[in-house]
Amino acid sequence: MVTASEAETPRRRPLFETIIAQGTKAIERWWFIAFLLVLWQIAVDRKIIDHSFFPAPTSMLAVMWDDIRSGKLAADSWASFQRFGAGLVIGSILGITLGLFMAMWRPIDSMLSALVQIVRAIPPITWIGFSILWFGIGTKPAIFLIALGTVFPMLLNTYAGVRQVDAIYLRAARNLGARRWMLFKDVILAAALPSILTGLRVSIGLAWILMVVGELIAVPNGLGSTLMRAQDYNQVDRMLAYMIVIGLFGYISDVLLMQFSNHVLRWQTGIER
Amino acid sequence: MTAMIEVSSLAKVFAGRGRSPSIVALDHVSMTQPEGEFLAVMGPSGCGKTTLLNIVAGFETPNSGTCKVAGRPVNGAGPDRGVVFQEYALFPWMTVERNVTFAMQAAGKWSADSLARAREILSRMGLINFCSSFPKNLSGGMRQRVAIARILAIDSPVMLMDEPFGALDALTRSVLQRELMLLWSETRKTILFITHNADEAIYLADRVLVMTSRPGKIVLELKIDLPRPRDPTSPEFNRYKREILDVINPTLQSAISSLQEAEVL
Repeated sequence: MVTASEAETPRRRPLFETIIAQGTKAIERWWFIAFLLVLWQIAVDRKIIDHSFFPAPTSMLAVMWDDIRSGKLAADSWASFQRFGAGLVIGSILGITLGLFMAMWRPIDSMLSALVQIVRAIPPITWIGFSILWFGIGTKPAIFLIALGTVFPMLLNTYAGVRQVDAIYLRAARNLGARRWMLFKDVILAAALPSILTGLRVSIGLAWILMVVGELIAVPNGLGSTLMRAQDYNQVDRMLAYMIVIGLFGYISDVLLMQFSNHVLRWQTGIER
Repeated sequence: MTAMIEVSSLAKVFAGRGRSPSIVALDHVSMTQPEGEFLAVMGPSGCGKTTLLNIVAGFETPNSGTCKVAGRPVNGAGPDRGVVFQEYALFPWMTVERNVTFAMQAAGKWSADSLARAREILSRMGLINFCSSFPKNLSGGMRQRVAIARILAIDSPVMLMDEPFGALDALTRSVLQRELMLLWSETRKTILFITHNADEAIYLADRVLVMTSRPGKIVLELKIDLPRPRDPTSPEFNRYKREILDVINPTLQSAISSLQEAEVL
């Protein structure tokens, strides 16, 4: 006899079928980029595009390979990633905390909301001057800029998430006897999580941009700093190589976050994986 | 038998906003429900029956009158009066099993054998194969089974049910009615059941209170003296039904004609 649970478990697909399915997906996703790269290479080889204007993929990859072998790319990436991580963590913790307080206590909301809206409207880049003044030159001003940029998307999304918790869940939880910590952790926070993760997605995008911006101001290493020096010495190959590396890291971090979100939010309707 | 729920001269008015007039949801409603009774409150929509339940549950406070449960005045919501809501108020981010165990923890009824007890109840409700499913993957009937399991798990002496089967299809509804009837026969909990369906009220309850709207008040009390399980097609069943409809239809008629007059004017 087949029980309901057995009937619901999907049969495992044979290995080669999985490989073919994954391969098809990868081709669908990447063929256009490959096509553009080929077109671009041909255009530079045929001198339709001037190499010093826009280098060919092969020469860019050669520089990238050199930097990978020398360890320079890894060192730059690691330095950048540390700033990115530190800024994002500080910004997120601050943003989530402030968002929760504002959403749950009206006096704090009234006290801070105008201030938040005004400071939020100031582009983070304009803080460069003060950040150097306060933190000197080096890693700290970059972290400050990232934290400043990410705090607002986290704050606003956390706030919206908590404010939009359906009253029926609060009513049900109170009826079951949930108080304080349980009500907060298992109901309010859980219900607001989709919105908080949306904030995190926006923040990660912003953090990458601000990380590069922060590194343009005299830091000794990092992706943005190397990019800046490549610009100074007119190393177009390296400029492009580092731009693409930054883009790839941004892309990878977004993919990872989405996979994490889809797993954590697998209870949501509309996510079928 | 001792009175479990005592409501006396309860009044509730919802103030109108802007141009809409204020609504008298409850006009000095009194009733007493003995311990272990299955009481149905039946009436058309807008008659204040859900307001009555919300006051007993502690979600709303009356403008005047008193409401006591187990001899104590109601002060806020609490797990001694478990509610099965009309909408599906399961927590969508928790699995079926977690919905039940969370309820036990929230109600302060968590002990070493609670997980086993939760599984036992889920099994009793026919949900054992869905422990790790999320509510989104369940049908409406299954979700209400989980909602009932959740209240069984916290072992509330009083169960408040607010049109729990209202959103279900006719077939699922009758299956769940039968299960609820059997469940009540086993546990003999005090159940206050709100419905707009006369058949449902007569099928389930020991006693039916019929309410009419504007102002919301109790106009008929009917003791159902039929052995369970009841046959909704039997002549006795239909006699009760006619008695209820005789009270409700004229008030519905007058409500309709007053609406028509309002439109003419």
